Amino acid sequence: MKGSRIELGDVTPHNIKQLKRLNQVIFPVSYNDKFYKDVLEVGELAKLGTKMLNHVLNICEKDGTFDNIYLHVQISNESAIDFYRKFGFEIIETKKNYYKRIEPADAHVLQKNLKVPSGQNADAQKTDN
Amino acid sequence: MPNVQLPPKESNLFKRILKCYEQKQYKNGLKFCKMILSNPKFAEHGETLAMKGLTLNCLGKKEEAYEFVRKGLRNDVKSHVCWHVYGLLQRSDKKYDEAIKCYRNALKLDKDNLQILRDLSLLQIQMRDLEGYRETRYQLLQLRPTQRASWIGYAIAYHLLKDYDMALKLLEEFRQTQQVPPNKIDYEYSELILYQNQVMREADQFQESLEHIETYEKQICDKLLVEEIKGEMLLKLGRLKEASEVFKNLIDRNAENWYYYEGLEKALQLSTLEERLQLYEDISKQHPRAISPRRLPLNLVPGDKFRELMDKFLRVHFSKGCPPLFTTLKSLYYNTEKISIIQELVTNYEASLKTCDFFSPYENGEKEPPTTLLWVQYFLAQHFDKLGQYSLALDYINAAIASTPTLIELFYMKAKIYKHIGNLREAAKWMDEAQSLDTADRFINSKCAKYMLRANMIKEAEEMCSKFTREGTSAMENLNEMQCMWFQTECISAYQRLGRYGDALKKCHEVERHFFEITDDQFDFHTYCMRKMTLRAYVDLLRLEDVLRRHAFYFKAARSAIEIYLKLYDNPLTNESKQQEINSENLSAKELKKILSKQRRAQKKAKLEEERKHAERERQQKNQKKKRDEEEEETSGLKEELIPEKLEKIENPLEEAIKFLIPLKNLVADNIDTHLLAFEIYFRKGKFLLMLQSVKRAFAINSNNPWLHECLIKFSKSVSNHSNLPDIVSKVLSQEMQKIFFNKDLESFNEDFLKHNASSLQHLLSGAKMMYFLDKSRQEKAIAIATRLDETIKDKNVKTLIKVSEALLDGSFGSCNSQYEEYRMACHNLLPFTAVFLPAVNEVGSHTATLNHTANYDVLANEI
Repeated sequence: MKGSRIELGDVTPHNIKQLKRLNQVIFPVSYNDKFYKDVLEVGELAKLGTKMLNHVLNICEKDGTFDNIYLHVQISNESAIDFYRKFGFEIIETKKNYYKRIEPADAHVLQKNLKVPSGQNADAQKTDN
Repeated sequence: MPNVQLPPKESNLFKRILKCYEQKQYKNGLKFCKMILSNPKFAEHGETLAMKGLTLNCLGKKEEAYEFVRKGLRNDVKSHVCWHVYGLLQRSDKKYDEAIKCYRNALKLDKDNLQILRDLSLLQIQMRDLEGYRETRYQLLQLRPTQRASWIGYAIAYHLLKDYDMALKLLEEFRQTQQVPPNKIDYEYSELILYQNQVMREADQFQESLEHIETYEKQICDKLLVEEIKGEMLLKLGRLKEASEVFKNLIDRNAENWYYYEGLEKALQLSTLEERLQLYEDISKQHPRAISPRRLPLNLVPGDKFRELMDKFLRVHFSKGCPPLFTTLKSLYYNTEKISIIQELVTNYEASLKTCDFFSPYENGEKEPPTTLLWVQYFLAQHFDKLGQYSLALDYINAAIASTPTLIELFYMKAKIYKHIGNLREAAKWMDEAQSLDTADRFINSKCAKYMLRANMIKEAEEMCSKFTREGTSAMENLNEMQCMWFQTECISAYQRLGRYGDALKKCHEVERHFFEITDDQFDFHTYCMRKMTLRAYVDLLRLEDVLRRHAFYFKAARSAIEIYLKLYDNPLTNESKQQEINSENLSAKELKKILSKQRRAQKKAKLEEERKHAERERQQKNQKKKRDEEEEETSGLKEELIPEKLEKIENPLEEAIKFLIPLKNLVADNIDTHLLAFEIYFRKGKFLLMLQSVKRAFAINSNNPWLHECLIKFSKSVSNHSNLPDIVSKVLSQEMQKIFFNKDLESFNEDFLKHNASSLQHLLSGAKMMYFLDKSRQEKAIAIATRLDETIKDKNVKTLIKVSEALLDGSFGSCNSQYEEYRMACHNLLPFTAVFLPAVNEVGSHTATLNHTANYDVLANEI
């Protein structure tokens, strides 16, 4: 597929309805209003993140051609590093000055192998952030 | 009273009064005034009294101020100080003409007084008394030849009077006195040079301008402007090769400025289409990310080449995802061949992308992301909306929404489609949906408010705006303070539609006041710009202010105000007591008593209501005044409050209407509506020559305008009904009307009009109205003509059909309720979604209008 440009934005009280709409359309379960209140207060999408990552892992599994998944995390973002490690990602590398506009600028590369290691193929990787 | 000279002690005190005034220490100034005036010898000293008045004015005590100043002037009529002070007082009340008179009197007594001369010059330029301004500036120059403002002011005076030679002489003299280090860039010197060059160009001195800009190039800050001027001058001088170099460089700087491409084409003078296309192709290769070299050729080419280029253009933008794609192509939609090519290309993309992820089924390579289909569907919705095929447009936008329900643009477009269909409530609903998805976006919030106003949901619109307006004040107030005229003009229309004429007029006056303020605000810039040397901006400001009321906001407000005042003249609103004249003969005493007491109760209620409103207003005013006092705004000329009830019961609506009309006549004389509105006013005033002037001017703009046609017939009828006009007037009238009517009688004139415009519903409506007007017995025939909906009629669109149905209801065809019902049903069949034609809820019959895709139901829009 042609490179679709993906950008991330924060969920705020101003655009929370877009998140509601997405959930309504994508997920078979509907979340009540308290859920969204918590989402805004807590500031991290705890269960939603898990769901999304599992979703991604399922796709890769079903597809079968993916060897591994990797992503970059800012070295100071401990909660993110912990989160991904729970799913079996490991720090394989640290890239200096990866980020242009935030401090610290360095990033860990976390990777998860999807195939049982027996001759790695470096191609067919999926970018995630 | 003889002028008493102040002895040294009092003279010093007086000097201190002046200082206090300058330093805004008003309380101290008053103290010193008291000290002089409490001495019985000087209690009537004119100049002190005047200064006391002036100081009081600065403290907001206007009436006392005038008292004291006038007293002082009376006591010492030969004092230039008193006249000067009186002038300052008038100026603070924006009575500029009066102020000028005062200053002139002061100057008669002290002709070389710099301060007075300066103040006078400011007023003169404010009032655009250019000759006077030049004289005064000459005097200032003679008195202070070393002050640079003197030279500049004098030069500007000549420039504005279009005496370019003098202006340039002065500017050059002045420039030579400026010492500017050659290697540094001095902004003020740069501005002076550019101003000088502008005057040269206005004087058509192209050669001089070019040499001038080349000489001083290094000292000008605005490098881009230098290049643009060079390009323009080289073109004007016919030095095309050099011009083409300049424009090529300009395109390299900015490949999206269409003016540069125009210039380049003028310079190269390419004759064949192929050469021109090659030019754009070359530029596009040099600037691969630029859109213009790909967009502009689309304007030039026909047929197959157009298809080829358009195909490329569309694919790139759909892939990338370009929301304003349709907007950039909209200007091509006057050409039916191009429209059908675009339609074919894009509908094919859509069909293909739905099945395989390619633009056409026979391709391979990289697949398109899912967003491509989205943008294609969005485009098609806009495309069919433009062509008036609304149900198809809705299909596409709904398909897009189904796949991407969070994209605000889609809901915005859906709302627009409903607006075009004529279902304004539905449109407002979808616009509300759009804004709810991003409540931090003020643009979509404002659009939602506007759509609500179009649906006459005024309260809701105000609430919507309040999400962004200042806390503590009502949205209406804040928006007025912020001069938010788009909101106010939409309110005017909404109130007008609801028949709330007082509220509408209040907003019309509010808008008018904004224009007054904007005109008034230029005052401070006369000194400021000279000081800062921003002369080009200053002259632009003056020129803008000269034509300020040409702006669409003023036109809208003025037009609505005139329409309302005309309505109020035709049907004045009376008090309850005047209405309901009871026919007491047919009622028994008991019934009569009942009715009278009911009336009394209603009157009491109305009175209480009005008192409550009045009290509420007073309370609000008190609060506002408190706030104002707290903020210590010493604004002079506090405007009288606008009260809707008062405005709509005005004594002389036509006079008020004329006040709004005059700037239109001066500044918007090219719009036929100006003259037709003027006609309607003069018609009611019985001013035949002015009526003639209006129709003549309208006739010159568009002799076939439907409204004009109605005016002409009313005019002619009125002239023939008035046999007692003075001879010379009759002579002029018949002479001029001959040129329009060619001695036809009115019935034939009307028949010819109908024949000539047999396929235009707008014209048929006017002709039909006039048919009934001239002969009421032809009501049936007239209605039949107006309600025609057959195939030959080209403009069966929402707007026009609504106009016809309104005419059926407002008495233009007499009483015709059954015909109106018939017509409404026919329109409903034609436009099933338009709210106005929907059957009433308790009617038996089909409520649910199903979407019908057959071609009969699509109506071509007449509007571009």
